[in-house]
Amino acid sequence: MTDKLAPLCLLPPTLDTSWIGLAPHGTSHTISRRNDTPLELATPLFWFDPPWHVLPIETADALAHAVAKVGITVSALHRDVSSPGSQSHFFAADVPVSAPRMLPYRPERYGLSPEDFDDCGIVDVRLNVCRDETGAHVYSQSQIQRWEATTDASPVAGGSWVPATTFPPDVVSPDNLGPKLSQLRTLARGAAIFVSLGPFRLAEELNRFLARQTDERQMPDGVIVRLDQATLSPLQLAQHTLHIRKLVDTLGQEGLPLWIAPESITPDDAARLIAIGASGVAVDSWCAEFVEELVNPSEATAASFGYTANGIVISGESARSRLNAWVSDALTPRVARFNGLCRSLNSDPAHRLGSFDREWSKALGVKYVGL
Amino acid sequence: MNPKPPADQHEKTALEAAEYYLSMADLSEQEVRDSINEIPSVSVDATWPQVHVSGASGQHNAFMRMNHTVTLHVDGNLGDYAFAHNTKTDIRLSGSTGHGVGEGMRGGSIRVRQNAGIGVGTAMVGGTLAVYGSAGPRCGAAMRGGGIFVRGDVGDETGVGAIGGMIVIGGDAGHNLGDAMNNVTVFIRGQASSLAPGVTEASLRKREQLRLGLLLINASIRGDSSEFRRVVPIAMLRAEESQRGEINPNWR
Repeated sequence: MTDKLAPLCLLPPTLDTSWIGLAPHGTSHTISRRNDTPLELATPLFWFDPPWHVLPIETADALAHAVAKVGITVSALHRDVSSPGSQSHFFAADVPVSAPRMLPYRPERYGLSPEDFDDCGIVDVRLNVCRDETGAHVYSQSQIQRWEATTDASPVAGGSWVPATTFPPDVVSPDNLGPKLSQLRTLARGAAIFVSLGPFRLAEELNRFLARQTDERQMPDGVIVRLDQATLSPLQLAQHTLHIRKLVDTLGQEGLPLWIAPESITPDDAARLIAIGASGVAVDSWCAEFVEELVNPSEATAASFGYTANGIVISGESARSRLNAWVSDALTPRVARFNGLCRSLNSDPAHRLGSFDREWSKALGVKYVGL
Repeated sequence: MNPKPPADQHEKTALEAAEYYLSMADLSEQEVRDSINEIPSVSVDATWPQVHVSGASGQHNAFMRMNHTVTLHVDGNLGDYAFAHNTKTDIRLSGSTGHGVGEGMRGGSIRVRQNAGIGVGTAMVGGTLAVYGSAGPRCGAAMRGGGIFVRGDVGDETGVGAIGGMIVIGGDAGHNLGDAMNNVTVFIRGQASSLAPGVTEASLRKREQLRLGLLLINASIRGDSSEFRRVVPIAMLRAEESQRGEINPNWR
């Protein structure tokens, strides 16, 4: 994978800077929660939309656990990674607190159980309609079956797909989301409440959701924008991130965490998005490599984990340890690279970026560093 | 927080349920919940303690995730998302609720004596939710199980996105009643402004009359089940007919 945002340079300090060491705060990322204690993350990387249902449930659980151990925030419901009555390693207490669990709160709430509110760090209120593998706005039969497991004799929805919706049906209108956010604060005490949106009507939607409320509890703690839903050129990706940051700021929400879910991304590009104005970056493309390998395993992977009629089923401590090592070997260098670059960012956002490309320099308003 | 001053607790004999009196005017909702949770649990088959709560005046997010074997009598009105994610508790509210009452409930029962707002029982999984007045739009949206009974009217898009469970409507319904893509069973006594595309009305079969009659009794709703009609996906009805009355689960 190559750097798409390579025309953007992370500027080093100027010559008259006396001494450069590690920033005292490292790359820790603080989410200020409304009228409540802040949430600290070790790194602002997250796995936004894992396709858990394509993996055997034990394997999904083990993979979620392995990725979270690297410090990446992982999104999952209990029913994504465990069946009723079974124990989940991902939801067990030994997942590092530096990688809080993210609860995907979809409008339909299929698969959601009250336990999902316990100990989650971030509630992601999804306000964008999903698409299944075919591109339709539906949940596939296999997805619904994972969430709402029934017997073969009485499959959900007659054994077919289920339409998806755009907005929580128990909310009056998009202008009245506040009480729902307040409810989620009560249900998930200690969690930060985010809303995630598609990229297509952001100006209108952000204005609706970020307009000042008299009750701070009715405001989100952060926004996630799904730029992966559009095919953007590298420059458009950078421009959109910049414009969304400015839009959020102009709505009086300076400093509100802005998490971006791009398509495939490299550690260097993730750091560039942070320099542009994002606060967190989704690394679904990194984690998708594991999913792909587990679904369509090479001979080496099949030999390592064992292949059954249901695919690769990661169960038992030994197999989980091998998976943890595999995931850690692949992700730790990327996370370290991202963290290192973020530590190198100029403390003044205006002097973080430059470009040797006049078009990029002009489009993004960054310093032209060519001669 | 003490459960209650002893003077407010009526001592009962072993055969009678203990009764507790709490006031939302004096205590925060959390304090009321804490007090309820301090009441010793009883088995499901035993007579449950009776908890009387006064001072309800439109509070939002009240009594969510109740998971205690008590019968809770709340006097007054509550706001949005009352009793969401209830698991066990038997709840009776004397007044009305705002939006999302009983959202995500998994068990127990909720009886709302007056009206409810939009999204009654959204995404509920189990239990019984009865509204003795009328309910707003999107009643039973995305429900996955359990039963909703509305004695009066319901608003538009009732049952949208529901993939299981039962909705019983004693009065009329708004537009787009039912959902052709779901498995929910809708019974209606009055008229619907319109049905959702792909669904139709059909008469009740004998076994459904019996089932509905029992459910009406359980929900303390008067009425003869034969007065109701059912609203079902056309594809499901055809599958039933081709299977001589037996539902083919793969009806789509």
